[in-house]
Formats: sequence, structure tokens, C-alpha cells
Amino acid sequence: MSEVRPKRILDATPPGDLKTRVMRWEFLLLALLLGVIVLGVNLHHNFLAPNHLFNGISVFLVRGLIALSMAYCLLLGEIDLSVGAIVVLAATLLGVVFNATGSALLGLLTALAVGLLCGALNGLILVKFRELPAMIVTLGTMILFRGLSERILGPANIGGMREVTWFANLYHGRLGPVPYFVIFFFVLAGIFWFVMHKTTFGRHMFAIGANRTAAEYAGINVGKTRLIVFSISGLICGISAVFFSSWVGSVRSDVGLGYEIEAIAMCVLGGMSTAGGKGTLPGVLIAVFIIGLLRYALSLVNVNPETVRIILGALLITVVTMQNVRRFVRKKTAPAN
Amino acid sequence: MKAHLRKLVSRREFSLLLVLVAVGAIVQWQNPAFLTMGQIDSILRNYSFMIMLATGMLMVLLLGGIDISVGSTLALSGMASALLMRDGIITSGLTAYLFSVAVGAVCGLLVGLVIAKGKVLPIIASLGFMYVFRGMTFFISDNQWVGTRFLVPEYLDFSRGSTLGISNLVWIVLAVYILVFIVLRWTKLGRQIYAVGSNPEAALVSGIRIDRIKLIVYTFNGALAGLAGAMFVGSFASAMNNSAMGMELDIIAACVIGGVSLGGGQGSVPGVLLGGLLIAVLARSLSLMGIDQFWQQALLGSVILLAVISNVIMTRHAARRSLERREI
Amino acid sequence: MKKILALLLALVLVLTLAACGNGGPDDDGDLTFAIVTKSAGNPFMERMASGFEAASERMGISAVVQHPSLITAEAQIEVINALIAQEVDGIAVAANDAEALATVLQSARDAGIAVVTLDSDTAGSQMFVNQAGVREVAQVLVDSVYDMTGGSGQFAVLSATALATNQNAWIAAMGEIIDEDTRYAGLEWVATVFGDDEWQASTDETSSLLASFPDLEVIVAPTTVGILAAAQYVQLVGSDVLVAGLGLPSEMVDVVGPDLPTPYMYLWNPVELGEVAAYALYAFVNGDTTGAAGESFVSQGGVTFNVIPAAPDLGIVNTQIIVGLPFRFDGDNIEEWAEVF
Repeated sequence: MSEVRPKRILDATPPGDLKTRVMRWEFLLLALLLGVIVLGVNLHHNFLAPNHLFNGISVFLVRGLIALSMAYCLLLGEIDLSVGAIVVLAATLLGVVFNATGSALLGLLTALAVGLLCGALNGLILVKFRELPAMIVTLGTMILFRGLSERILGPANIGGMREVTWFANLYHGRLGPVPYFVIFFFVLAGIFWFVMHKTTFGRHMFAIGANRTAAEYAGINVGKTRLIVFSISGLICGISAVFFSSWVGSVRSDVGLGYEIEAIAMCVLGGMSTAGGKGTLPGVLIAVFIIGLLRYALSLVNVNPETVRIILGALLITVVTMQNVRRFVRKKTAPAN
Repeated sequence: MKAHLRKLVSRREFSLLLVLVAVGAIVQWQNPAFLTMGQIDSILRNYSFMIMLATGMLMVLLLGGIDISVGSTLALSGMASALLMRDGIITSGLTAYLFSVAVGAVCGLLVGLVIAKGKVLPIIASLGFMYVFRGMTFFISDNQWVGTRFLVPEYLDFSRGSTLGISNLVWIVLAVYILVFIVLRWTKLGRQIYAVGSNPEAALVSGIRIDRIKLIVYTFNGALAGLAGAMFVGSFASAMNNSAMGMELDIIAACVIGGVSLGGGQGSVPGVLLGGLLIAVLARSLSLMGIDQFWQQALLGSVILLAVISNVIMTRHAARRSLERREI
Repeated sequence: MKKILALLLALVLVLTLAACGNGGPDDDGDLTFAIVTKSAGNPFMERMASGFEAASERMGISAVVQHPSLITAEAQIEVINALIAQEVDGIAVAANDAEALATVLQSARDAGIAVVTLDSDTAGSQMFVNQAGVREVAQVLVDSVYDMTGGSGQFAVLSATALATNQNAWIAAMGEIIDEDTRYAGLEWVATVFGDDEWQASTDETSSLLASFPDLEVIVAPTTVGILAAAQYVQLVGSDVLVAGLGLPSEMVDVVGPDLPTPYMYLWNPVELGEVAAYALYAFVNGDTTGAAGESFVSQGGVTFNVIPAAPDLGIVNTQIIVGLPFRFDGDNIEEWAEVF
């Protein structure tokens, strides 16, 4: 219906044209997703067995969570490289607090607070030093946060969270065949969709991503928006850390390695432009499932993870190039207006 | 004379040099074994790949691009030439080096093509190729290493040997630095690279063939990664498929500390050299000073943040002063 | 939007149809065993997996080899989830974390899959196939140091990642052995550093050790990457520090021998370790053992194994069988073994 409304204001192209363009991209993604599912069913007869399928889905949704907030960063034309490092730092402190107090609830709250604080720190630096691109700042904090976790944990792991039943159930608990976590993910995705496509804040994000200077002149508080988006990103990492701890029940300093890259890949496949101002949340959501289910399907027939890496890399390059070629062709063939 | 001096002192490279000297002095004070020929040569040799690749990354960043596939390109090209040595197809050290450079150049060209012709954003294109090249490294090597005895002795001798008391690898890095310095400073190509990075539209209007420049720069960057691959395998006398994983981060960090802007058009060869050296010395300094190794990453992260933030403050300060002067 | 809805509906339909159309588990009666190593690209793990594969195939069992893409527990869990969904009959895993795999291994066992650990242990498995007793490994390492220093002098440990459970167990046991026996009073343990099983980092740490401790006599590296990097570096700079530890003969063949950086080193046969893990899985599936301490079973390879109790203080949380003793490689036999593994 009106998913693309915020863009209409900014884009000079007629709404109908824009709408079909965006819609088409998501259709293509859906077709791709369907293809992956058909492939999965053909590869292994257990692909759709709900028990196993939801196991596989939960695993990639721990990373998929981060794709949601990464979509916001990309929408602003920024990138948050520190997400994996925030996950590990939040999970580390969750473990430390849990071990010190014996309270999983306190640990959970700590993880959320640490995530939020780390994200806010990124945001604050970006507001104070607005010349800096987020990529540089978060490159620094990425190494710093992971470094702090390495320092705190040293050669050890922190565990024991699994013994607390309610905490373990955050990830492992199920409503029928469906894990609570998967339900939570979809609710969260719904909220993210609403904020991005239905609120003033969402329109501001689109506007800043499309043209930061113009947005500033239009009276949008760019600094505040940056601060909020990066704080959200941090908070989501805190949430991801909670589910990670609930899932694995043990934290080491190598947790969350490469999350940033996977989240970015999911977003870009979903049609987010890293230049900012373009993309839709449903697109990202579909892309999360394309990448996750493809991986799961290939692992069911024991395809070597390195081959999976080649397939994912090639998929990413082809799809994005295809997107550009489509745009190019449309530009060529579209009547001037 | 005084104005000249002030200009020198206010330059970013100068403050970086001061930091490097200060860090060096602290390490030396804590451990007198630091400033010895052997130790310095060993630091330089062990980080020669990263320091050298920083020049390629500099050119890419000057264009406003980025290439995070270099670590994978390094591993792939090094492994490819090692495999051919194992199978007896490559029998001389020079061929091994040339082949590795060629593989790297092809990788770089591919990345460049997707970026220049496919109009894919550099971070995405190189992200995809980072996966692809790394996967191919495991694929062609069938998950195996290539051990010392399969490598050509002449190749190993050169890679691990030294001339005039300095490692051959360090000489290579020096040569690359001089080459890039000359290209960026005194050639048309160099001026065009800066022009494209600082203002692409203006560059396009003035008739610069941006696509061609992108192709050249990414291919060159890939070729450097290939060269680094041959150096890596030769220096450690084994080809492993997980070589240089994550090295792209160190390389980008070296550039950032050296004052290169990720937005394009800004950065210098001496700055990058100092940034690379600082990272190399920091990495080695903790263990030399007997400080817990687990501090290393946290320290590096802080240094990067401090470097970029102080750069912003200095730039603002300079801008304000020149404004004041104009008002007077 | 309507179109999207329609497509989603169609999708749901396809999903349900496909779900209904699917039958129960395999009932063809063939056994499948799987091995999950620590990560891809590690020669020791490669050899271990090939032993596992060969032994399984000799028993008429199909084998699946899975190398995770990263050296993390997370990557292993992903792989094991997929193996459970495939309904394999046995899983052998070299754990990347002492605790993290417990839940997924438990659900494997709940699904009727036999689970053993090898190389490094973790909670949730039924038995640990121990390459060599922890104390025994630590003992040969300490004795190497004692011998190479001539009874007294400085030595340092160059380990793998700080997170490696088996290396940490050996290092801890080395400390105990040195403290317990006055024979080792002359040994001075100056540092323990971590080379992360990476070439560059291991070389870096070796170089720092040489610079920081001029009187250093021996570096002991209980990891195949570390010992090679250290030995090559020592050879390159012409230092007379000796390198002891655990290494793969095929990789170390150029640096082991008299007048070389490593006079001798130890390891066990990774191929054999993989084989025994396959036999142990078969013993569980066949009902030859329940994994309780005090039992013993004859493997398909014709060797009798005694199940001994866990040793939690050494990081072994399950009952265990010991494959063998650490084997010594020196200038006389290294060429011959380099052909094997």
C-alpha cells in the first residue's frame, strides 16, 4: 500500500514508477526465497521438518536480529562495523554479572544496558565529531570493544547460564513447534517496519540518507537521529547477546565474529543501498531468510562451508549487479520526464 | 623560515612521527632489546605485507572506494603459486613471484570491473569477493597446507634472505613505497586519482575517464596483494589457506591512523607509512614490555579512535585559525 | 501489496504441501557417522578426519566430514544442528568450547545419536576419546625442557589461542608437574604467550620472547602451528634457542634433527585418533559399551579399550579412553613419519 511513502517526498520520479520499481525488487527476492525453499526440499527430505527447520532458523536469526538495526544505519548512509564486538562485550558482561550475583535477570539487564551504552558511545562520537564517517569510528570501537572482552575473559569462558531454566528457554523454549525467539523476532521486525515506513522518524532517516545537507536545511536534527539509530543498533546487539547466551550458554571472546559482515550482506541483498536513503524493511527480512535458509539447506547435504562461502559471495555480487543493471535499463528505456 | 617550520609542525605526519617516537622511546626504556637492528628488521619483515598493502589501499581510498578482499586475494595468490611449485610446474623463484602477482592482478581486476562497470558499491563488491576468494583458496588447496619442502629453495632463500643487512622483503616494500609516492605526486594518473576522489562530478566533467582509473587502481591493489601473497608464503615457508584473515582491518586501520579520509581525495604516502609502522610497533610493543597480551586489541582500538578524533580537532583548530587570520 | 499477500499465501501453501508430503526418517538401515573438526585448514584436523573416514568405511558405514568455517563453538553448533536433521547415527566432535556444545549434543543424544568427543572434550558427550593422557603429554613436554636446558635454565611456552581447552589443560598440568617434583626446581618458566595458531602472531611472539629474555634456552610449543613458526623463526635468525613441543612430522620435517632448532618433538597419530573415534561410536551404536567407567570393549580394529573416569580438574568432563602415548619424533624417524601424517 504505502510502504514507499516516505520516499515519494524525496524522489522526483513519479510515485507509480517508484512503487513498481521497489515492489518488483521484493518480488524478485520472494521468487529467490521460493527457489531456495524448493532447492532445500529437493536436497533433503527433512528440510521442512518443523522441529529441525526451526532449529536452523533460530540459529541464523541471532544474526538476523542485527540485520534489522543495520538496515537503519545503512538507510542513513552509514555502517556500523562494531555490532559483532558489542555482542561479545555485552555477552561477556552478562556472564560476569551472572557469575558474580547468580541472577540471570541482572545479567540480562546488564547485557541490554551495555549494548545500549556502546551504541550510544558510537552515536555520541558521531554527534560530537560530525565530520567523521561512522565506518571509521565503528572500526575503532569494534577493535576496542572486542579488545575489552578479550581482556576481561582472557583465556577463559564464562558459562553456567544454561542452568537457569527461564533464561535457557528464551532461546530454546517453544510454543508448539515455533520457538518463542522466532515469534519475538517477527514482532521486533514488525516494530522496525512500522518505525521505518510509518513514522516521522522513519521519514527523517530516509531524508538524511538521501541528502544529508538538504535534510539539515529542512530542519531535521541529523545529530539526534544519528545518536538514536546507533543507540538502537547497540541495543539490538545487546538483545542478540542475550539470545546468544541463552542459546549457547557459554561466552568466549570469539563470539560474534563476522556478524557485521553477515548483517551487511543480508541488508544489501534485501535492497538496502550502502549509499543511504534507499531500501525497505520487508526486503531485508526476505533476504535474512534467503541467506539463512540457503545456508541451512546446503548444510543438510554437507556442502563444505568454504563452498557455501563462495556461493554466498557470488550470490551477493550477482544480485547487486543485477539490481544495478535493472536500474540502468529502466533509466535507458524510461521516457524522459 | 619560521613559517616553514610552523607549517611542518602543524602537519599531521609530524604529529604521527612524534607519537611513533614516543611509543618507541617507552618501549626502549622498558626493554633495551627493542632498538636493535635484529628486532627492527624482524618487526618490519613480519609486518611488511600489511605496511605494503596500505599503499594500495591508500590509492583505493583516495578514489573514495574501499577493498576488503585483499586478505583473501593474498591467501589465494600465495596458495596458487605454492600449489604450482608443489606440482613442479613453477621451478624458479621469479616465476613464483610473477605468477602470484598475476593472480592477484586478475582478482583485483575482477573487483574493479564489478565496481566500475557493474556500478556496485566498493564495500559490497569487495565483501562478496572476500568470501569468493577465500573460499577458492580452500577449494584449490583441498584444505591442505603446502609445506616447506614443496617450495622452490631459490624462492625461499630470496624471501627469507637479506641484502646489506636488511631483509629482501623490506627492500620490496621500500620500492613499492617509492613507486606509489612518485605516481601520486608527479604523474598525471596520480593527479587524476586525487581529482576523482575529491570531486567525482568535476572530474567527470573535466574529461577524466573515471572507470578506467578505477580499473587501474583496483588492479594495482590486487597485484600488490598478489605480491604480498608470494612474500607471505616465502617468508613463513608454508602456504596456509587461512593466511591473512582479517588483515584488511589492520590495513585500513593503518590508513586511517595515517590520516587518509574514507571519503576520498585525502591522504598521503608518508602518513600511511607512519600509520603502518605505528600499528606494527604497537603490536610488538606489548609483549616486549611484558604487558599482558590481552590488552593488545583494546589498545589498538583506542589508538585508532584517538587518531581520528585528534585529526578532527586539529582540522577544526586550523580552520578556525585561518578564519581568524582572515578577519584580522 | 495485494500481490505480495497473494504470493505469501502461495508460499504458505507450498510449505504446508511440502511438509505433508514428507515421510519419516530413513529406514534403509545403513549407518552414517559424522565427524566435526575444530576448523577447516588445519592439517592435524584433516588427518584426524581422514582416519575417521577410512575406519568408518572399513566397517561399511558411510562417513560425513564437516570442517566448520570458523574456529568457534557457534559454527560447530550450526553444523551439528544440520547433522541432527539428517538423522546421522553417530557424531564425533573436537570441541571448540568446554561448555557451549552441551545443549546441542544433548539434543543429538535425545534423537538417539551416539556422541563422542575427541581431541578436546566438552560437556554433553558420552565419552572422550583422549589422544594421550593429559598428565602424560605434560610430562613429556616438561621432560623435553629439562633435557634441552640441561636441567636448569629459562624456558617459555608458546601456545595456540588462549581459548584452546586442550592446550590450556596441558599447560596447567605442566605447572603442577614442575611444582611437585624438586628435580625441576632449576627450571625457570618466564612466560606463556599465545600465537593464536596463526603464522604471523606466532612469529611475532617468538621474536618478542627472544628479545625480552636473552637467557632463554627453550621455547615449548604444544601446538602444531606454533612449534613450526617458532622453529622456523629461530632458524631464520640463527638463535641457539631450542624449540620443543608437539608438531606434525610432515610439516616439521625440515627443522627436526640434531643441530636443527628442534632436536626432537612429540605427537600422537591423528589418523589413529580419528579411527578410534569411529570405533568408539560403533561400540555405542552396537551396544558394546555404555560409556560407564570401568567397562571395557574390543574395538573393530581389534584393540581393547578400558573406559576410565573423567578428570574434571584437567578439563575432561566425560569418561575417557586413551588412544596411546605421545610418540617421539627425531632425526632418525622423522622422514619416515612425514610420509604418514
